[in-house]
Amino acid sequence: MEIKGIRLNKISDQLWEIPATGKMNVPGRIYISEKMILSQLENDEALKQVVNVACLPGIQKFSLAMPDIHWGYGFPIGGVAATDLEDGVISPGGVGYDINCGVRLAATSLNFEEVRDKISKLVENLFKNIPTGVGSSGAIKKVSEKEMKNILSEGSNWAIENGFGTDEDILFTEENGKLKDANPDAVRERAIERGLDQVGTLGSGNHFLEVDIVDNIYDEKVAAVFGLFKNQVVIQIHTGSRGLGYQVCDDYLNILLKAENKYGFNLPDKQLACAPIKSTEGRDYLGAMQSSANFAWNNRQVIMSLAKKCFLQTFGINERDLNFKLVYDVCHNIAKIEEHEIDGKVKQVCVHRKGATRAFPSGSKFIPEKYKEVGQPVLIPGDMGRYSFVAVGTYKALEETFGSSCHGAGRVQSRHRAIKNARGRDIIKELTRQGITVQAKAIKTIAEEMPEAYKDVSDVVNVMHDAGISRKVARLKPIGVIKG
Amino acid sequence: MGFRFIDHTADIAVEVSGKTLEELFIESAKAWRQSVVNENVNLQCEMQDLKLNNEMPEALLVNFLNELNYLLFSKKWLMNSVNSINIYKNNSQWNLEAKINGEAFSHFKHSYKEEIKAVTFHQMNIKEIDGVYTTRIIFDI
Repeated sequence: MEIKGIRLNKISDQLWEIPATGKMNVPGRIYISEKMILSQLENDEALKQVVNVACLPGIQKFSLAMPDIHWGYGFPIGGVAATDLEDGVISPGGVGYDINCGVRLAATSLNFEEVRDKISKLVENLFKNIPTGVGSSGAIKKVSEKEMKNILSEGSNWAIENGFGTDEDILFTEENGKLKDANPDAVRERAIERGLDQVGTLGSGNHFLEVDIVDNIYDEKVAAVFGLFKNQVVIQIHTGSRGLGYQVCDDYLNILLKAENKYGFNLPDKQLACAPIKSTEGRDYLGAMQSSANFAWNNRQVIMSLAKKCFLQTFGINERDLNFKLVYDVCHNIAKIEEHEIDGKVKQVCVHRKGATRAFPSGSKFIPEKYKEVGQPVLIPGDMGRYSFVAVGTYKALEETFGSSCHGAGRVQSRHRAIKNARGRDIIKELTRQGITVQAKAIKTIAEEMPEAYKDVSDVVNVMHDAGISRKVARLKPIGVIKG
Repeated sequence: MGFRFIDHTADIAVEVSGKTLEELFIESAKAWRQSVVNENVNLQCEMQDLKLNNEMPEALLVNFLNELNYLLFSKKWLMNSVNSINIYKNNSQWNLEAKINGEAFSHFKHSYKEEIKAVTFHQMNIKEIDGVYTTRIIFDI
């Protein structure tokens, strides 16, 4: 098959390969169904971006894309690339502006029937206590610059030390909520300034806090290990490093663009600006990016703690009866130094995941003890009207995708088109009729984010399931949503 | 000469034109403002000086718009208009000197439309054809 002049060879029903030609150092590989290729890839430049990423110095094995692939900046969204730690590069384009945008899933012991009548009150309380929307701020007191440095180096630990959560939460966060090599001194003043009043805020766009019920279980054994059962009330929090991360990305794109000439790279796209991982510029970006990731984990931890309080207040129950527990927290936008087997040898590489989720299998020493028998939870949010999925990582992911899977649905309509299509309709009422209570700062956001503006996430999740990269465990159905 | 928004699946895309580089930058600033706040320009103003330089004109435009973005989202200071702007090349550097008018962002007067994470380099390519400068700009939101 050929799409926009790029040859795609079929490897299996879920996997297609772009042969290495021209400046490509490795082939491209895309996990996708034939139906999705035609509907998703003909109208944008995402495939060209897979080819561009394959040109990065030091890239290993393949330039990969997950089935939620779409046009991004530099890397496609859904792009995964591992670069050699010794002679490879690191690129902010492989992480994105919203550094460590990610999702956490927390579970309760509550059954939907027990609290059905109080969901709208709960959503109201959540909306009141968790700042949402453009430039949202002031969830907790504004932190000082000194405290900010502490957040940047300690991640979620800051939240725990300040009463926003428990030690157990740390155990169920990817990397225990802290990348230990973070270098707050590499984060420039402007980025710090942009984050000072944004700790504990959701932000706008596709960020959300959602109350869900577990409406379908595909794997009883794994679901039980994750602490999930049918009709259980759970929440998902989707946000990242807010203005701080955006500013870090912008600052370092500028620095690395200048490094391009210095290191003699001739890159096909300015958004792929990069530097050798071991160069001063590369090390500084890595340290600043890791600090931003720590900020994001702390942010989601604070929001979760604020949400828990709302649950306790609204339902008037004690902590034991609520039994609020973090299932897992995953990054969707990150570059991490990991060990992977390449050509039979274990090698240290920098895995860029831009709109992709780590999906490590059972036995991995990098996942919580409790999940070692089954593998790590892979959290894949959908749209606010249909469903989200919980999957589990596999060995095949480790073998084929540097332990990575998909991250979400992706838009099918532009914001502009969604607003046009929503004209004359009351989307909030439509969702209420489906049993979903929604509160948002701006009506416009509801229109932009309405369910039909997104692809059906089950198409994406099924490709990964059928390819054996991440297996479906449970499906979550929204009953309450707060947005920006 | 001016700007027009074009359809983009996830973000905001705009095509800008100007008879001079300066006009191109002014129109780009107007497009940025129309993307982030709902209100029209107010007359009441304070002035700020901006001085920026970069090796590429595209990077200078990205720096300029990101500066406006930083002033709004970090300093809560909203640009209303560009009072004067001068762009010139000195050796290998492109330089920008501008005076911009604006005011403190106030929830009583203003409302945000979108939070622009950053102005991207994606598809940005400043071209001059028959005395008209054009470029596409994509705001990541």
